[in-house]
Amino acid sequence: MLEAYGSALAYLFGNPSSFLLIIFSVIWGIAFGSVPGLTGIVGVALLIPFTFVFDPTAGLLLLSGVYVGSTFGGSISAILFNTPGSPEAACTALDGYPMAKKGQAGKALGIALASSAIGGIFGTIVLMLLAPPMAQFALNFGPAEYFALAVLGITAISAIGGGSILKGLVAGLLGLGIATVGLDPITGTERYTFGNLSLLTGISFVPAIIGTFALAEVLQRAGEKTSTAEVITDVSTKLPSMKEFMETRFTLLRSSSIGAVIGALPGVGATTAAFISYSEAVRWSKRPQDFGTGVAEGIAAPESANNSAVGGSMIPLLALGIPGSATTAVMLGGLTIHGIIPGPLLMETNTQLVYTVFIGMFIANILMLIFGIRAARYFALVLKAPYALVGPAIVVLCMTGVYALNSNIVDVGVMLAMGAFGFLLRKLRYPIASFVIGLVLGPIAERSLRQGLVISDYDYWDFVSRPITAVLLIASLLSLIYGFYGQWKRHRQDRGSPAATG
Amino acid sequence: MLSLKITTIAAVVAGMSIAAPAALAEDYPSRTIEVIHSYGPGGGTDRFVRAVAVPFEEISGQSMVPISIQGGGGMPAFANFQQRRVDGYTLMAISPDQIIAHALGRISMDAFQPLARVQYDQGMIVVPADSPFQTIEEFIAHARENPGDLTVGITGAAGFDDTVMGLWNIETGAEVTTVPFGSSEMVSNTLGGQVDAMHEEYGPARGLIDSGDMRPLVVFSDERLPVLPDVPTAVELGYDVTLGRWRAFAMPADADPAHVETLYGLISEAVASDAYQEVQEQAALQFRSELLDPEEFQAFIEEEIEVYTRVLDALGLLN
Amino acid sequence: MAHRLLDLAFAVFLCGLSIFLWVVADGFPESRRFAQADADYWPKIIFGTMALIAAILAIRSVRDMRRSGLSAAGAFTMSPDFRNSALRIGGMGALVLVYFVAFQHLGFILATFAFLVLASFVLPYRNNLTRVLFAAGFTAVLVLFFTQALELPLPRGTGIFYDLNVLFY
Repeated sequence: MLEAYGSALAYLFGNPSSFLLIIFSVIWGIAFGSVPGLTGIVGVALLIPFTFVFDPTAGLLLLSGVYVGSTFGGSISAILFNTPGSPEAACTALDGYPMAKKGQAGKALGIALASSAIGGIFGTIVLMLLAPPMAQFALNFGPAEYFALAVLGITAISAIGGGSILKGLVAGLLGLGIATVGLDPITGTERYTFGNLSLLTGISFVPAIIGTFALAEVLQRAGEKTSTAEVITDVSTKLPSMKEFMETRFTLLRSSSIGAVIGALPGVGATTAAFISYSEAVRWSKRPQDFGTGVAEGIAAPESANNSAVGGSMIPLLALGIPGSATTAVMLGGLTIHGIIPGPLLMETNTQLVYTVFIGMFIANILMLIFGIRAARYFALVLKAPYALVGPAIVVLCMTGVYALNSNIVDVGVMLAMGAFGFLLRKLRYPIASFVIGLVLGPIAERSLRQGLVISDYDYWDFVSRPITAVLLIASLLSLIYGFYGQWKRHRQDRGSPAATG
Repeated sequence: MLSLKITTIAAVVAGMSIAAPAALAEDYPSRTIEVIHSYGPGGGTDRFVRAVAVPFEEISGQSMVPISIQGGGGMPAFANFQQRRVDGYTLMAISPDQIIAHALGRISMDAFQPLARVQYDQGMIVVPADSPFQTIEEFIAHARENPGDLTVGITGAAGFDDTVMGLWNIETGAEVTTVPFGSSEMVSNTLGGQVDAMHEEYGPARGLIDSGDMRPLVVFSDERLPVLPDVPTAVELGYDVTLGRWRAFAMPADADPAHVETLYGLISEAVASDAYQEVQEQAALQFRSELLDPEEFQAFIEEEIEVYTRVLDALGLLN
Repeated sequence: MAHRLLDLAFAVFLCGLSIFLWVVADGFPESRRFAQADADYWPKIIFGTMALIAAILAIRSVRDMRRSGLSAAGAFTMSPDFRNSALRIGGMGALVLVYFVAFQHLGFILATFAFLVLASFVLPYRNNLTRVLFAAGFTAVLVLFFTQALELPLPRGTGIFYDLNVLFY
């Protein structure tokens, strides 16, 4: 293993240009991540033709750097404009933007950046040390386990939102329900398309979150009386102090671990990891009702998890040749073009490539910290511009990004509809967090439940009696009860105090 | 006032460009060719178009770019294709998915002028290394005795994989249950033993086959693969299952025949180039990828429609 | 009070919608192979639960309204602030919709430029020159970035606008 790292270092220092490649790729990734609609997948896919110029190692360094950068990049626009630049960052907007609105944009960005770097490095270390055993562990996750994992995330809805429990549940169910539009994942039947073939795609996640977050926010700001006055001040990004860091250390550790494990599972990636770790952060918090109002853990949890998931999703790719996420699937295609056959033998036959990428991802995470601060400062300049220009520009950027992503005007329509819907939900105080969690985890829950039922021949007992499933489901049930109890208790306390009425 | 000006400018411009093509007919293609497809950026079809585009650009001097319009069983991509002007600069990369959409009555293959079928892949039934089944005969025998007991992972619902396995069930009479997954989950669920086998092409599975983690039992092709000389074909065993995933170019049905001819010439040259052939080999697609010209391709499509319609009907997917 | 009424109306709407969608799910075509957990399996669970909870919400909000004992008389008077705010939101929403239509028919360049200029009138802003320059500049940057740097398509519009836009990208 040391020998392998030796040859990797020899490669990097033998090709100093590879450092330039990493620098470029991280900047490209951050830029791609921060533009709404342009996801990391597109950023990676567009660079594949350029990797022809380089050897496979340099090519993979380039692609993995983009992956690292894009995962963080989305959180800048999520925090500053409530516009998640990439789906991975949707969860960051839940607490990041409220914190920025409280006048602490700099702090929010600092937490996001520090958590991203910590999560990213954590994920890379797991990848370096544990790739083969982790890949084997991930193979124990069948549909039943995926289902239980999704349920665990969904049940956190009961603890989210300081307001009404029932509204939280309805918002979550709305998310789950909207996710069922389109082609059925098992039978291929058309559902809720009402004969309209353009709805077969269903409600795609990217347009949906951009609508619910960004568009709804522009509408909200349009209605505010003080739209000329600056709402967000203090955007000088600073990393959290040691004291602040220590306060979130458990959250960081828990979320990074969740991120690495979920990242390693094929088919689910950074976005799922971010939402599940957010759910867990709410569940483990002493003040769950404060989530959504701009708490540090609400930013640290998703950001460390989604970046950790980047390293995690490289695990099955490098150890088994199975991509752990949509982005790594594109990377796999890129490797094939270079004549490299991804599979379990990759780590033996292409040792130098694999270990160079390990080191490269490590460097990329550190570079992300450096460039992230700069990028955030540039973005923050936009806040100085009058909202009469910025607001419409955000609308244009969202429309363009969503259209360009898939050249599908229906997606743009979905975004608009979801924007109006998100605005309505917000006005009526239905928690957006629950709604989005339902939207993200709903498809995973449904698909895996029904796959699992087909495999077990519709034997529900066989389905739930698997060890990992049983543990996860029992944990969900307990937390559901505990969540309701906590909300009920708070509700009673609130009723007791006269200040909370009205 | 403003709109009046715009209309005037636009009218002038329009006049120019309508006059233009007639004068420049020999110069076709004179700008970028856009190829619509219904898969993700960086996916198999996207890479296929890009692989053809590189030599195409050298030969014709014009670039070719893939446009990815994902999801919805290919419907949004098809809608976009149909909305575009028929000027010879819009192609669509088609595959068995369009045949299936045709059989399901969602689109009509008559909307296409077949241009060139380029790639033709072959699927396999693959089992994990610790599977009790060493040969396809054992696999079939078990399925005969316990209909529906064996689970086979496939990619996508009511799509290409479903049709292949449906045909396999019809031909062998030994019924297996298909479980639809996303492509990477299908592999991990098979490796992890959640399902008994999977249907996968040779290219993506070869890493796991080479390492001994997976074992192919049967190939859906006319001849054995030179790289897997010990794996029998379904045809050898007496089951006529040769359906494979193919990738091809098509133009709109009312495309100018001169354009079809010119473009086929350019594409066939591009496909014959070393640059393309190398990419094709790296993706392990060379075994039966034979270029079909517009007429051969049209005949091929008609055969495919017949087979797919029969199988989908048997699966109960046609109303 | 207006808010409470809206709350009630939305809960009732959701309850009705869930019941409707449940019935729609019941009519999904049946699959022979997956009959035991078919296409309607999951939607029915979701919408069934939602109908139930939305009904409880509706009942609760009726009860709350009764308890607070306020008459519905004041529900429909608006403060001038609220009216202005609603007007701006409505204006912005309408403009976005018009942009969406223009986006498809006029193509990206014209639609975007016009939208940026018009939308800046909805929000308070004075400098007319900056308004137009910004709109033109931002449109140009986006067109270059998407069509040239990334080779991603932008809408070209229909009819004569198509011919116009083909000249640019």
